[in-house]
Amino acid sequence: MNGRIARGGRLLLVEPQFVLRRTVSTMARDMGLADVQEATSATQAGKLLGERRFNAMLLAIDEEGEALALLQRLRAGETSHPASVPVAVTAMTCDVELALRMKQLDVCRLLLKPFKVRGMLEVISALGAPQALSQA
Amino acid sequence: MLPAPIPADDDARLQALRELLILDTPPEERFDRLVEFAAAEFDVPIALISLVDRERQWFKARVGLDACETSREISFCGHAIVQRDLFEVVDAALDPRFADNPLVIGGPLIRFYIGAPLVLPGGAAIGTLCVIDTQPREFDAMDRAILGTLRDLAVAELIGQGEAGVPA
Repeated sequence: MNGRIARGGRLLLVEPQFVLRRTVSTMARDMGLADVQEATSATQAGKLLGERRFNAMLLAIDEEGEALALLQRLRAGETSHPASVPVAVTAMTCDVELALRMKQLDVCRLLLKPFKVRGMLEVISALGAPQALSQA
Repeated sequence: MLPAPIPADDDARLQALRELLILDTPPEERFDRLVEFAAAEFDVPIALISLVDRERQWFKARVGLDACETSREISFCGHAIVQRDLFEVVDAALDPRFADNPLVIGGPLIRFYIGAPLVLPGGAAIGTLCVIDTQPREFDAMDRAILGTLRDLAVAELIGQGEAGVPA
């Protein structure tokens, strides 16, 4: 399991749904959980990864496979970030194939639909709390 | 039943509401998204963006309610706009202000209500983002913070600074 961000570290939130994304990012900032940068897609997230340094990422898995491709590049050390950056993901569904893929890509937490703000904040909080995630 | 109070600054409040030119306009996805999100987030059957007019409350966006308006006198939101904090009724059937309210003893059979006042930058509380349940319940601090954040998004939309209408 990878290391985790320090509380208040910089987190990249990749989530297409505006209301969920903005509510989570606002509350994470207000609660001091993380300095959240928002991205609406994996493509946009890829650009942001090249421009700024992030301590962790919460990534929505898309049907097009762009999110998985980004995660694969990250783990392969093909971005400007350490390959060990902690990543949690959200997904509409999860089958055995996706679960295995998540494990291979060292995803520290998988959150399935329906996504709740509370649940996503717990994941962000856990990204800042090594002990909590190491038990996941 | 305690009728919804009329705040001392009601004329100015109504002026601010009417300057938005939003009353009786068609539904808009950017507001619909907010109430749909709130209903799902809090697992409640009803969520509304209610604008409190002189004699009525009119719903700009609604989930779980067929009516597009009710009288202001019986409205819960009419109570909510006279304070700046969230207005919560844990069990309307046990609350002397609401126990015999037509919205409690008849449809939609409100038991739980919490409304976040929509306060414009000038200070006018023009309505609420509210959620309603037919069962008693109580919001914890996290629920209240989430509702407050969603309310802020609704206000941003009302004053033309929102992004909820931008396609993902």
